[in-house]
Amino acid sequence: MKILVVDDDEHILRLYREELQEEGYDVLTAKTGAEGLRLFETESPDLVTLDILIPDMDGITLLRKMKEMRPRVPIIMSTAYDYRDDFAVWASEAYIVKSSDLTELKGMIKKLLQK
Amino acid sequence: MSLKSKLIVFLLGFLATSALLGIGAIYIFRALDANISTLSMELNRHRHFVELRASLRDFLGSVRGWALTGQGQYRRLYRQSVADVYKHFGRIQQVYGESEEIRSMGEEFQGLKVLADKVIALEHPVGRAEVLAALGMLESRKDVLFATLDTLYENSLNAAMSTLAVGERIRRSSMVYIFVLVSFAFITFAFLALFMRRMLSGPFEELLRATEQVARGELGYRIATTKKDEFGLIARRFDSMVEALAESTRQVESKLRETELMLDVAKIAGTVLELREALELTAQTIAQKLRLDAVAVYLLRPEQRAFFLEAISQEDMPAEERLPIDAPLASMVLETLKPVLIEDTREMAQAERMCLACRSLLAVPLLRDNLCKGLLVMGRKEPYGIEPSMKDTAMILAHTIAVVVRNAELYSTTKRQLQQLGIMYDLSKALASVYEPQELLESISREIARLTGAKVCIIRLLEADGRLHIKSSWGLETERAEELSLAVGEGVAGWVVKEGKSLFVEDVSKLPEHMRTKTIRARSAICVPLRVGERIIGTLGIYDKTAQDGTPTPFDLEDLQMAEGFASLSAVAIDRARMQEQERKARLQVEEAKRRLDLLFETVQGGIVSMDADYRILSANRYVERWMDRPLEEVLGRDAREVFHHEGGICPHCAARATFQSGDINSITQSRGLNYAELTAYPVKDPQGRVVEVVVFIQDITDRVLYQEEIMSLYKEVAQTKEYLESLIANSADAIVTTDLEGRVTSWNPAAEKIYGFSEEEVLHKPLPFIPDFLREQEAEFMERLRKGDVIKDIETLRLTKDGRLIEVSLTLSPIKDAAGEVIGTSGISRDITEKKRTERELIRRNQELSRLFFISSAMRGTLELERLLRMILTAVTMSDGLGFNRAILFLVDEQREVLKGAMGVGPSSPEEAWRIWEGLSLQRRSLHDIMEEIERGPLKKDSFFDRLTMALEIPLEGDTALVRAVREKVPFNVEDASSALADPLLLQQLGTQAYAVVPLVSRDKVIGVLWVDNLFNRKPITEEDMRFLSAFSNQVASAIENARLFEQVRLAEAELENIFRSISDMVYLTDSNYTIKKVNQAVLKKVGLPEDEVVGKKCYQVFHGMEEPLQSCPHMRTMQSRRPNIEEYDDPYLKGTFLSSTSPLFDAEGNFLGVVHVVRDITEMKQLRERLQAAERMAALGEVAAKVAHEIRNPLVSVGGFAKRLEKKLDGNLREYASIIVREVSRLEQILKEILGFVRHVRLQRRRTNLQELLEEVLKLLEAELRAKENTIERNIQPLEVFVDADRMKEALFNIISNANQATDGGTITITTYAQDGKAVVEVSDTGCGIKKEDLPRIFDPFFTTRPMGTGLGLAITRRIIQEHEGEIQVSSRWPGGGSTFRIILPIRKEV
Repeated sequence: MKILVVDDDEHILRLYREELQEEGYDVLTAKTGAEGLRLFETESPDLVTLDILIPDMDGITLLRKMKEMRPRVPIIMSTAYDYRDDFAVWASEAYIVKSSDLTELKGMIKKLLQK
Repeated sequence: MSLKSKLIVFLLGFLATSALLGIGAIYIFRALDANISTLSMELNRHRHFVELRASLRDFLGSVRGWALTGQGQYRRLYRQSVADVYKHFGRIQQVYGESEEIRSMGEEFQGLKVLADKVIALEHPVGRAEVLAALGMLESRKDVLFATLDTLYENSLNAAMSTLAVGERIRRSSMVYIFVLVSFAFITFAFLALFMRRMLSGPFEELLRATEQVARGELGYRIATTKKDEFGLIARRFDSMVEALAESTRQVESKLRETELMLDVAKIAGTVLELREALELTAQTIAQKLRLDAVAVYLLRPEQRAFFLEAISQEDMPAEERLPIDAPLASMVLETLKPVLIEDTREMAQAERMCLACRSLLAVPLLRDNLCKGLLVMGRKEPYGIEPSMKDTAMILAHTIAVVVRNAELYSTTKRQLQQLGIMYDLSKALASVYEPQELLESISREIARLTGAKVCIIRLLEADGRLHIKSSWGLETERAEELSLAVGEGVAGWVVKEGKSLFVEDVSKLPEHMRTKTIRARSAICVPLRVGERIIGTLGIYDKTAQDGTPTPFDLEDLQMAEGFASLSAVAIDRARMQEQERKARLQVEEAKRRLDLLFETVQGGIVSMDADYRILSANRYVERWMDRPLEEVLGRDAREVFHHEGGICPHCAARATFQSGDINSITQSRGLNYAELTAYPVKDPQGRVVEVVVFIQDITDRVLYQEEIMSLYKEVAQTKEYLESLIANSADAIVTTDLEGRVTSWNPAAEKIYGFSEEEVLHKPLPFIPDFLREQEAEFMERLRKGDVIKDIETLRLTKDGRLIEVSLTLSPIKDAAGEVIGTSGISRDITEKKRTERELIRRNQELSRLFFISSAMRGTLELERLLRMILTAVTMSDGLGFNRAILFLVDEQREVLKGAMGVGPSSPEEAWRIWEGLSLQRRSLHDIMEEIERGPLKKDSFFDRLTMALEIPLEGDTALVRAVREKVPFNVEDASSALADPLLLQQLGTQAYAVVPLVSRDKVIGVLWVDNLFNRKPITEEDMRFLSAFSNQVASAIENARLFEQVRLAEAELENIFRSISDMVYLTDSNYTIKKVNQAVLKKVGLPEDEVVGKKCYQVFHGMEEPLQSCPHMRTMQSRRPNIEEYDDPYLKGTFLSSTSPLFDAEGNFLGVVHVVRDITEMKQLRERLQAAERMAALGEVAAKVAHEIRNPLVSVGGFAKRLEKKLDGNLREYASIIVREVSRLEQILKEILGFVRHVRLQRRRTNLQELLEEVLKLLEAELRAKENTIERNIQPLEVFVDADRMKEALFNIISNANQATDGGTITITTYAQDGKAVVEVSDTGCGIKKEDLPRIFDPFFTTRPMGTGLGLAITRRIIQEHEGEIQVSSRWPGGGSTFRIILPIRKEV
C-alpha cells in the first residue's frame, strides 16, 4: 500500500513517513503541490494525505486536480486549521486536524484503505 | 254452504278413508307376523339338525380316536359328545314333537352307543380285534342314522323355502299398499291446503287489505265479492260500512268546502271593488272549491232583454256571452226566482241554448230587492253532476254575489261620477280657455279621447255644403280627414245628424251597409249629435275604447252618457267659437275689401276718373293730378271739359264721350309733350242699359312706347353681343364650361381644354371630368345652390387635370336660366391660379412671416408643456395659411440609442381629410386659445392615425440619407425626388411620401431633432422659399423645444425632489429663523406620530423636545448661533433614541438667513448595529490571528510531539520520562489551541428539538466533580421546556455558564431556573459567589477577558457567540462584592425551520 503525504513542513513529512512506514505502508512525500501532483501521477499512490496550506498551490486546487485524475483514490485533508465545516464541500474522503498524536490519522488511513 | 258444514264434510271423508287404510295395514301386519314366526321355527329346527349332525360326528370321532390311539382325551371327548347328542335330540323333539323318524333315529343311536360304550370301556383298546370289529359296525350303522337325519334336514329346508315365498308375496302387496297410502296422504294434504287457501286465508287477506286501504283514507275501496259464505257476508257489510263512511266524509268535505267558499266569497265581496274582478275571482273561487267545471256569472241588462256574461271561471269553457231572457234557463229562473237544476241538458228541449257547455247545470238568480239582477250558473260536464243539495249553497252564494254586484256598482258609480265630474271639469276648463275654433276643436277631441279612453275621437261639423266634414280628430290619420266627409244620412254620423239621436254601436261590423264608414276601421263606436238648441251643428264620434292596459273593451252606456254630456258642453263652445270666428272673418273681409279697394284706387299705376253724362267729375284718384294743374280736391264735381281744357293735355272726356255714345269700352291714345297716355273709358250702366257714368282709366304709356323703341335697338345689340360673347368664350384664357343640371358638359371652351387637358369631344355630354373625388360632395352642394339660382363667386378650389395633377383654380359658378327664369344648367368659369396662388401665398407668407413668428413665439412662451408645444409647432407647419405643408413630423434625437425617434406627427391620412383640415384650420380671426382647442379636439388631435404611424418611426443615425445628414451637418435638405440617394427608404415605405424636406432643429449648437415635411396630397413641390421659411421657423422651434424639454426636466426633477423629500427615510424638515417648522416629510410625521397640520407651523422645540423654549443643547442651536452647518450625534430622551442631526443654514439671494434645513437620522438602531459590528470585527480579527497561530504553532507542535512520542518509545529511564513530559505538554498545548480555535471557528448549527431540562441535567453531570470540589450545591427550579437548538453547542454554552458560576462561588448555592416568557425560553443561572465588579461587567463577554489567573478568557465569549448563533440573548446582572451574579440566557422557542 502506497501513501503519498504532501506537506510543506519537513519535520512533519519525516514524522509521517516514519510512523506510517512502521505501520507497513510505502510512504512517498512531497513538499510542494507540483511535486505531489507529479508523484500522484507517476507513482499511483493508494491514498493521499494533503495539507491545505502548501507553498506553490493551495491544497484545494491540488485536491481537485487529483480527484480529476483519479477520483477513486481516497484523500485525507490534514491541516492545522480547525475549520472542519469549511472543507466538507471539497469532496475529500476525510478531514483531520493535525495532531502530535497520530492515532486518529492511522485509524482513518486503515479504514479508508480497507474499503 | 257455510264454512262449518264444509269443514264437517271434509273431516268425515278424511276419517273414513283413514279407517279403511288402517284396516288394510292391520291385515298386512298380521300376515307378515305369521310368516315370520313360521320362518323362524323352520330355521330353528334346521339349526338343531345341523348341531345334532355335528355332535354325532364328534361322538363317532371320539370312539374312533380311542379305539385307534387309546389316548385318554378321546374318552373325555366321548362323554362330552354323548351329552351333546342327547341335548340336541331333546331340542329336536321339543320342536318337532313325537315323530317316527326321530324315535327311530334315537333307537339307532342307542344301538351305536352300546357298541361304543364297549369300546370305551376297554382300558387298552389298541390293536384289539374286537375293537376294530366294533368300529366297523359303528361305521356301517352310522350311515343309516345320517340318512335319516339328512331326510329330516331336507324337509325342514323345504318348509323354510315355502315360508319365504309366502313372505315375498306379502312384501309385494305391502309395497302396493304403501304407495296407495302415500298417494292418499299427498292428495289429502293438497286438498287441505287448497281448501285452507280458498276458504280462509284468501278472504282474510282481502279483508285485511281492505281495512288497510280504508284506514289509509281510500274510501273508494270495495271488496265486492260474490262469495256466499261468512266472508262474503263480512265483505258486504264492510263495503256498506265504508260506503257510509265515504259518504259522510264527502258530506263533511263538501260542507267544509262550502263554508270555506262562503268565507272566501264573503272576503272577495268585502275586499274587491272592481266588479268584473270581483265576479271573476268569485267565479273562480266557487269553481275551485265546489269542484265545478264552470261557474259563470251573468248580469241582466234589462234594456237589452238579456243576461250578459260577466265572469266565468274557466276562460276556455264555451259559454254564451249573451243569454236572452227567453232562453230556456233564464226564463225558468225568471219565472220562479228560485234555483233551477238541470240534471242533464240533453234531456231538455233546447239543449243547445244552454249557457254553458255542461251536461248538468244549476242556475241561481242573483236577487236584489226581490228582483232578478243576474244569474249564477254552475256547471259540471257530466250529467247528474250537481246534487240538489247544492241549491242552498248556491242561493247563499248568489246572495253574496248580489251584494258584490251591488257594492261594485256602488263603487263604480261613485267612481265614474267622480271621474265624470273631473272630466267635465277638465273639459269645461279646456273649453273655457280656448277661443280659437280649430284649437278648441282639437282640444275637445283630444280631451274626450283621453277621458273616455277611446282610441279615436272625431268631431264633424255641418258645413255650408250641407256635408259633415271632419273638423278635428284625435287618433285618426289626419291626411284622410277630407275624404271622410259625409252627407247627412250617410254613415253613422250622417244617421245621427239626420235622426237627431245618439247612436251606440257595440259592433260596427253588424251595422247595415249604408251606415258604415268604410275607411274608419272601428269595432265599437258612439256617435252623438252636437246640438245648439234644436239645431244640430255636427257630431261627436268616439271609437274603440281601450282599457288602461291597452286591451280593447266595448263602450258602455256610461260612455254614451258621458259623450252626450261632452257633446252638449262642446257644442255650445264650438258654436260660440264658430260664430265669433265667423263674425271676425266677416269683419275682416269687409275691412280687407275696403282696404284693397282704397289701395287699388290710390296706387293703381294710372289715373282713374269717373264722370257722369254731363262730364261732371264724380271721382278721381291722385294719379290724375299729374295730368292736371290743380289739386284733386278742387276738381271733384267740376266739368271735365273745364278741368282738362288746356292744349296738349289729355282729355278723358273725349274718351268718355265715345263711350257715352256707343255704350262700349273705348280706348284712345293721347300725347302730352314727351309723354304718352292711353285713355280707356268703361261704361257704367243703369238697369235699363243706359250709360249713366263712365270711368276713364288713364295710363301713362310713355315708358311702354319708349321701351318698344329700346327693344328694337336692343335686339340689334344682342345679336352683336352674342357674336362677341361667343368669340370671347372661345378666346377666353379662363376655362368656361357649361353643364346641364345633371352636371353633364354642354360646352367646353379652348381654354378649358388648355387648362384641364381634355378636348371638347372627350367631355361633351359627359360628367365634369375635372372634379377630384374628394370634392364630389362639395360639388353636389354647389349644384344644389345653383339650382336655386345662386351664383357662387370666386371660390378657390382644386381641380384634376387629365394628367392627374391637382391644380388650384379660382371658380365662379352661375346658373343658366331660360327665358322663364328656370335654371336649366350651369356655367363655370375657372382660372388656373396655381401660379397666382403661389405668388399670392408668397406675398402672404412674406407679409405674415412676422406675425406668424410672433404667434408661434407667443404660443411657445405660453406653453412649456413639451407635448403641447410640439403639436402646436407641427400644426403651424401644416396649417394652410401657416407653412402650408400637408404633413409634418417631428423627430427627436435619442443620443443614447443613436436614433432619430418620431415624436409626433401631424397630418391627414387621406386627401378627403386633408381637404377638410385645410378648409377648417386657419390662423385668421382666431385666438390662440381657439386654435389650441382645435388642435386638441380637431382632426389634428393626438393619436391620429398619422400620429401613431409617426411614433413608431425610428431611424438609426447612420448612412447618408437626408435625415441623418441633416442631423450630422446641421443643414436642411430638400428631397425632391423619391429616387434620390438622399431619400430615406423607411420614410418612403412607411409614409408613402414622394418628396419631402427635412430641417434640423439646432439649439445651442446641438441638433436636438429634425422637422420633416411633405406635400403628399396636393403634390406641391417644396420650393426654396418654403425651405427658407422652414429654416427660419426651425430656429425658433429648436430653442422652444429645448426650453420646454428643460422645463419638463426641471418639472420632473422638482417632482422627483418632492417625491424624494416625501419618501426619504431620514427626517427632513425646514424651520425658519424663528424655530417655526415650515415643511416636513413623511419620516418626521411618522416619528412624531402627528398629522402634518399639527406639525407644520409649530415651533420645532415644541414638536421635537416637548419644550416651550429652544433647547440649548439641541444641535439646531449651533447652526442658529453660528449660521454654519453642523453635524452632531445626540441622544434624545424625548423622542427616545440616538439621532444624527445635520443642520444647514438657509440663505436667500441677498444672503439673509432664512432658516435651517434639518436632516435627522434615527441611528438608535444603527448605533446598536455599529456596536455589534465592532464586536464582530474584533471577533473576525481574532479569527485571523487564531488561524495564523494555528498554522504556525500546530505544525511545530505536531513535529515536537510526534518525535517526542517516537523518542519515548525508544528511550528508558530518566530520558524516557523527559520525552513523556514533552509529549504530555505538547498534548496540553494542542488542547489549549483547540479551545482557542474553537472560539473562532464557525460551525453551522445542527439544530433539533431538544429538551432543555435534559440538557441541563447532562451538563450538571459533567460538572459533578467540579461542584463537589467547591462544595457548592445546585438548586433546580427547572421546567420542562423544548427548544430548537444545536444540543452540543448549547451544552457547551450552559457548561461554560455553570462552570463559571461554580468557579466564582465557594460553599454556596447555584440556582438554575428555567421558564417561558413572551414566547421565549429563559435559563437563569444564579450563584451566591463574589459577583463581578461593575467596571468589569461590560467586558466579561469579551474574548480573553478573565479575572482568573488560570482562565483563557474565552469561555463566556464562546458562550455568547453560541447564544447569538441561536438568535438568543445573554444578560448578566451582578452585585459586587459578594452579591452573587445572575446569568440569563433567553432563547426563542422556535419551531423547525
